Amino acid sequence: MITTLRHLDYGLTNSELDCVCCGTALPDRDGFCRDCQTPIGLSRAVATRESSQSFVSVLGASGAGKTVFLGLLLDLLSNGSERLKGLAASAFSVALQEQVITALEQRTFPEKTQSEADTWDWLHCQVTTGLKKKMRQVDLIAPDFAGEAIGLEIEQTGLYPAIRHVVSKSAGLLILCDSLKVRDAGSAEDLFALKLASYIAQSQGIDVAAAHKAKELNVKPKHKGPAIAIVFTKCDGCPETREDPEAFATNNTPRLAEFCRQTFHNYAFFSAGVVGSAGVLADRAGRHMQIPFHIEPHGIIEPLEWVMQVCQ
Amino acid sequence: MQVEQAIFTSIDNGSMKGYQLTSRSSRIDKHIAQELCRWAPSHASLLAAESDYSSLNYFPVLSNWVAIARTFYGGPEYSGRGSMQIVTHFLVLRLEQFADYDYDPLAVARTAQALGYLRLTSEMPEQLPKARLTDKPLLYLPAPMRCESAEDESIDEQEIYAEVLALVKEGQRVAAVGIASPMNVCERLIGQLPAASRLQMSIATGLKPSTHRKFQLHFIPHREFGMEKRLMAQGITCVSSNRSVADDGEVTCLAQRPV
Repeated sequence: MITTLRHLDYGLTNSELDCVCCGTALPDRDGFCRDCQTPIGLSRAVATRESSQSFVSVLGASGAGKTVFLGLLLDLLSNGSERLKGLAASAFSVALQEQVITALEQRTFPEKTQSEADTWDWLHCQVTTGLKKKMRQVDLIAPDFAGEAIGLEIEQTGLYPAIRHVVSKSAGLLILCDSLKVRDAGSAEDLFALKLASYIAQSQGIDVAAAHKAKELNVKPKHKGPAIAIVFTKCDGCPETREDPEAFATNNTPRLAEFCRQTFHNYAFFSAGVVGSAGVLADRAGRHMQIPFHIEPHGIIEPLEWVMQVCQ
Repeated sequence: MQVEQAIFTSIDNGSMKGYQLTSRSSRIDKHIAQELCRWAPSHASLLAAESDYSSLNYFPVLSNWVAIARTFYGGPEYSGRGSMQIVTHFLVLRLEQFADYDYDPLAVARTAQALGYLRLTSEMPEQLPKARLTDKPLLYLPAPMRCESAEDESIDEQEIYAEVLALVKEGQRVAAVGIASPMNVCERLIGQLPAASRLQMSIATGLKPSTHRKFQLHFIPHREFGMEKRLMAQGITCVSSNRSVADDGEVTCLAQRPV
């Protein structure tokens, strides 16, 4: 039995709903925000929630592992401990989890994320941290951006407004770097991560020069800024990252490490992996496909846990 | 006549990975490049999986240029996720060059393909030479000949065409569903539109509709469950045949758009 207007179409009229990402009024009932292509369904789901919302950006180059990381994150959070537990807050949030888990169960990795913003999956989950009286609940929103979209947005700001809006309002940001490419492919990964970190600083309104000066003078900044977790992925193939991620960063991504040291107040390095080991299959058409032999998550939850502790 | 060209596909060139403008000729500046990236399709954007499937696309670029592009499958995508890369070759023309082709993107495409452009190449150098097209189309179809192709169309396709033409003239975004030969329909449509309308419109014969690429006219080969609703959410009116097969096998078709 319907007792309140709330139960009718969330109790919201079209004129009352704003995009959760860019704040634009949403006159349409379905589809995507005309400004940033954020799903209207996400904005509607967020508008009816009582918990506070917190954006977390998961950024990285194409192929760094963002989709797998996010999909597995929600899966692990749903089986999480009392220290950190998460539940999908809207139906479409499960789509990403389903896509990743199904692919991994079939011994494949999920397909490449499309560059078109209206195809992106959005993680929206209620995360509970702490015990009893200290328990805190927050709605976590993390979009699964396409890596090349991130790269294009850095080069030509405005092409993907959703990225700019989410990065600017994120309390925590995870920069994913493919540890194998970092170790083996020269400085390209370091330079891209540096560009990404610079973009984050610019979007968050951090005056880089002032931050550098404050660090030199050992002065604490007025605003601590976001929590930045640099996550080296695919650590199954690069065990050096597991032993000491910070040392790995200093040795293999020196530019990024130095920029973080000079600019951000809260940053940390992590290593993460999803598979225990992987191989490559090639077919007659020359297509190569990476095959995960078995799933062995490592370091998936820790970066988020650290971000939430810092942001408390 | 020399026109600009560019290629958009997925590569790892060190500084940038994934779908990007890999190659361009000299006059493709930052602004034109940004527009090409906005309209270019990325992974899994073609409507069919056959390796020889392609889409012909046409859209305005800024105020003084137009682009005619062909999207098709290339080799294996570099990132090892088992899929084929999507490759888009662009020809970018100034309006005065386009005028020599009577503002007909299909005439440009036919001429370009006959001369060897808009095709998969083994090499994609960063710097491309300009494409050399003939000053006039190699093959130009006058209006009566365009209408002759209608004789080969089924009744429902002819009805869909009439509906699509009306909507395009109103400036609405349209998806024509179930057309066997989009190129024939495009030929007729282009012939019926004045030059000013052709300059403002945009066409994709085989790409998935996306809010990111606001093509005015899409062609979709088959109806899918929930498709009309998704297209309406993007502001696209779906025009399809409503086939019903009676018990005696007689098929009745009605071109319709959702109310």
